Amino acid sequence: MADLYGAGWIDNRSYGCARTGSGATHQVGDCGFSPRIKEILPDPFPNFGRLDAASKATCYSVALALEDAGLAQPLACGEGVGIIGAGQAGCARSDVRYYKDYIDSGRASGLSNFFIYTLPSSPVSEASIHFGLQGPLLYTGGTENIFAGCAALAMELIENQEASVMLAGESGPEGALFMVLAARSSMEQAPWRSGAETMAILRQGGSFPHIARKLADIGNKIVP
Amino acid sequence: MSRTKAYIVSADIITPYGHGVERCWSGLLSGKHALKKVERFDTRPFVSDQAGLIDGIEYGKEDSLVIQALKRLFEKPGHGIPRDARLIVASTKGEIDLLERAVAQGSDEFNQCTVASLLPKAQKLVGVSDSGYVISAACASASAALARAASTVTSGAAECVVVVACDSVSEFVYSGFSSLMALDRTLAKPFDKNRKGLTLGEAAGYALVMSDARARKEGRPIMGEIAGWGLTADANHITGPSRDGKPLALAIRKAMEMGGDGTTIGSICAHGTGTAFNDSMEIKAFTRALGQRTSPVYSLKGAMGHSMGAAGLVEALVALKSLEHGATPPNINLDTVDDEAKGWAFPEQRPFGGATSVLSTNSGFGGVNAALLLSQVT
Repeated sequence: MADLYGAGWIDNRSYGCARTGSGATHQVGDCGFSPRIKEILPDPFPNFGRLDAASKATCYSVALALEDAGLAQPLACGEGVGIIGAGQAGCARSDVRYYKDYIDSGRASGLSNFFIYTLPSSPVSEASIHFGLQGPLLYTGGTENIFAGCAALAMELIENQEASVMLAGESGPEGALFMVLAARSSMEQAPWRSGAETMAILRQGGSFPHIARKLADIGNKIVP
Repeated sequence: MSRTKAYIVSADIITPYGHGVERCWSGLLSGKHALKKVERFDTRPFVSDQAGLIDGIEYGKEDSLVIQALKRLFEKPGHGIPRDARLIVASTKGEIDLLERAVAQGSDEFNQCTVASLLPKAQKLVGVSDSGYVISAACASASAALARAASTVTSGAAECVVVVACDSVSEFVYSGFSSLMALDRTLAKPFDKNRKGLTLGEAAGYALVMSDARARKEGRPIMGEIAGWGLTADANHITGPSRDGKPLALAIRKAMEMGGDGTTIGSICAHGTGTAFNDSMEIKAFTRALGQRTSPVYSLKGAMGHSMGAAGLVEALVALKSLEHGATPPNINLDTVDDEAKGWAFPEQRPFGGATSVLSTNSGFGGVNAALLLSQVT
């Protein structure tokens, strides 16, 4: 079973790295995570303003997860590094945004910049593009425990040697949490939690940042 | 002990050619496309007015477009899907016409229109006890789902998995692709020198993937084996594919490596959307992956349109038909083969003898790639 190396999360008021316990507050939760939080994404990010809120949250969370796992950004080699995203509502909010705008415009023309975010896989695709992740790319959903389902799928891909490292997590317009799961042979540093321990925590359910707190085993301590 | 194999033992599709894999195959061999003018909504604002539509499914019914199609697949008994089969649903937009209706009426009930909301409906139609999960990987959704199904079976996690794939031609999707200037004004002509874009389509289908041991025990007819698969991402652009085809080539190599030594590729059912960039990328990928060992390449999207999340399942089943017959279907709408595709794509049906396997590839927005290696079972 693959192991957990780190996790990063963001919600509408704060963000953090679960393994290192670092974190901070932010002010952009009510603005769809714009403008870009440079403490998380310091390098130029072309078209950042165009991303929908779920895609921005995903990219923040993936950046924090990679940092937490001690992986350089951008990755030296993205082959074999994949990403699976999951969500409760898929891209429903982006769907409504696109279609409402289309109807309000008199059904004359849709906005292509809205349309490209009407795929459930768009947020993880944006992360894949920005961080150079060239392994498997999927969206999954519909299971009762989305995090556990997503992590299980990521671990299966690693165990089958279809990927050496997988980012796996949940995202939506309110935030995101992504974990770095990997085969031990792929990582220089020691794992943070074993795969079995990670799955046991995830099976308890919950959403970010509650899961981040559980992973970090810091109980009710408020993560800043 | 030999590795568990993943066989496709039952499958059915409904496409613009009608109901059934045989009907689809016959339609393709006729050389005539199944595209027609869209009457479902007003296409005057859009770049095109053509699509591949399933006869008899309509807007405004209580059931969504995809459920209407799926009900036709499952209305008669005899699909042979056991109750203990795991369920995977593959789609990009699911019941999007219900969301259209909700938004137009000013309702907030859009959470009932996600792809995941298809799961309980699919579970009931198929008659399995598993509540299932969704795989959505843009236009590679179905092939990614088949890969996961094969992985689940070969790992021993389950003896059988049913993949249900579907997508429909909706005003939502049509307007969106038109806004991206991705539609051909007339009809998609994959691998043609004068190709200008894609034509949308719709389809629904299922494939039951079962372990070889159980298939033999139950005396199941075997359509073929999912012998290998590869999933990669371009990491390039949200709508534009890789310019050099390297990630798709890697997906193909992964699929072929899984198939083992001695695999011979008879043909490739390409994604072949008819856009300038996609078709060019694919030929580059095939050249990287197969080198001088060209195999005839074909696309179904000139014939039936691009059915998005369902495309990979339809194409995998047609690829197995091509393996059965030792010949590709023709590339419908292909008149003048693009220079890059010479030696790969041909307008006419192409025989290929003695091959053990075929490839089926799909790519999608966000740079997703999936390759399936489908093999004969002797």
